[in-house]
This record gives sequence, structure tokens and C-alpha cells, in this order.
Amino acid sequence: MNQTAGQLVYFYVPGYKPNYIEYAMTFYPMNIILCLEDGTPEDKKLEARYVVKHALQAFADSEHTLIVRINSVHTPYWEQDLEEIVPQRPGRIRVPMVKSAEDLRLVERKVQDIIQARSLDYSPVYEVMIECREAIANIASIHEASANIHAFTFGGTDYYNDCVAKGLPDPVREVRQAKQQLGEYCRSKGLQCFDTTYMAFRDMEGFRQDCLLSREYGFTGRSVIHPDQVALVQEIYGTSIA
Amino acid sequence: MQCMNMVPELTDRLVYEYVAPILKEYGLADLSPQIWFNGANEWVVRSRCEALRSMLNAALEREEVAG
Repeated sequence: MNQTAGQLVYFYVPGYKPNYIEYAMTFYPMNIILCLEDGTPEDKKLEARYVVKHALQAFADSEHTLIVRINSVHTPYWEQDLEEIVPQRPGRIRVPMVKSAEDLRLVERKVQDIIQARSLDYSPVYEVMIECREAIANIASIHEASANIHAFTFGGTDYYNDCVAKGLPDPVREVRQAKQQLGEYCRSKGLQCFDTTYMAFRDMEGFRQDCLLSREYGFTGRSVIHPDQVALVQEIYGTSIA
Repeated sequence: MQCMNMVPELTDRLVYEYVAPILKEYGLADLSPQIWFNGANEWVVRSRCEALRSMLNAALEREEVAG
């Protein structure tokens, strides 16, 4: 199997930094995630929403797949995020902190309302983020909640924090088990499955080992935060496991 | 409107003629804005203007509700 970066690599860009977005557009074609959520501070949420809206317009003909990570339905921002970005027809919508099927249905209903109200020629495609224990327990019902799921993606930092908040004795083991469960589920259903970012971007050997393990679990691609990580993701996830 | 050109390679007039129509389009030109132009592309200028317009609209709505 020889896959391109456009299928394997997911490059996060903070939505409130237009210069970062323009820089990302100079890379060879890949998936660019314009982040309105954790990559954008609270006091920049509104500003980021409009930067991302206009970036989607300006780069509509780009060879990159532009994905927008909206704010979660558990925040006050998600509806306005969708109001502004759905009319720009993003390549995919990444939905963070989905805990249950109802969370995803909320997003899908809102998106469909916007499409109908504005008579848009647009079929949304979702990437659903699994970031807490509740989500792993509900994975099958979440999957059944929408026919438009392209992939599940794992949010490692938030999952770890969820385990700590619940007082679990070994959050590292919990994260590992969750990744195994998610990878196995996606493999059994033929779904794409993208692993979490590796924040220590200077530790290339550590990243390599993490990617190898992730691929064994069933992950088919990865989110990255630094250009130096791209080639390694393509190398490891782009080859089939013997 | 005050427009401070921070890009020495561009003339002040060029910058003004570039920025002023966008501000007018978003209903901001008459609000005596102070602009510091650092060389942003048009899509970025538009995003800033629309964000500001959105904030002003929200503030005006709150004032109306408060009476």
C-alpha cells in the first residue's frame, strides 16, 4: 500500500493565525485542520471563526482537503461556528469531544438546518473525535448516529485528562486500552481511524515508536503539529502491516 | 479613518486605497477606525473586518435590549 500525505497526514493549524494557514497552504497536498477548538484561546474564538471562514473562501480551489475542527457541543461556540463555516463547504467537519450519539445528532441537525435554509449544494462529512471514556463506551451508537462519518480520531490529551479527573489509577494504561479498542472497532467496520497528535515534535525516535504501535492498533493516519512529523507519518502509516 | 502603513515597500496611498473599500463594505469606515496595516492579504483583512462588524452588531443589540 502506498498512500499519499493527502490520505494519511492531518496537519493542525490554529484558526486564529492566518499566517500559519498561509504557510500550511505551501506544503504538498494534505489534510489541513483549521482549528477553532483547543488550538484557539477563548479570547480569540470569534476572530478565529472569521479567519477560518475567509480562509475556506480564499483557498476553495486548493489541492489540500480543508477540515474545520469546530468547538464541541458542550461549549457556547459550536452553533455560530457552523453558521459561518458550513456555507463555505469545508472538506470535512471534525467534531470534538463527542460523548454520545446525541452529541453527533445535534451537530448533524444543525448542519442540515443550515444547508436547507441556504439551499446549499453540500454534503457534510464528519470526523468524530473520541476523547473520553464515555465516548469509547458509546462508540457503536455514535457510529450509528450518522451515515456521514469518514473517520474516528483519538484525542489523547483530553482522554488522559478525563481519566485523571475520574481518579483512575493508571491513566497511561487507560489511554493505551482506549486506542486499542478504537483501532479494533474501526478496523472491524472498515473505517478510517486517526491517531492523536504527538506534542514532543523534536523527539522523532519517540514519535516513530508511537506511530508503529498506533498502526498495530489499527490507526490508519495521524494528526501532526509540525512539518517535520509529516514524512514519518507517511512512511509508517503508508505501508501495510505484514 | 487613520491608516498606519507598517510596510515600507508600499506607499501609504496604495495601502489606503487597498484597505478603505473593504472597511466601507463592512460599514466600518465611518467609525473613525485606526488601522495598522502589516501586509495582510485581502482575505485576512476581510476576516478582521467581519469579526469586528460581528462584535459591534452584538454590542449594539445588547444596548438595545438594555434600553
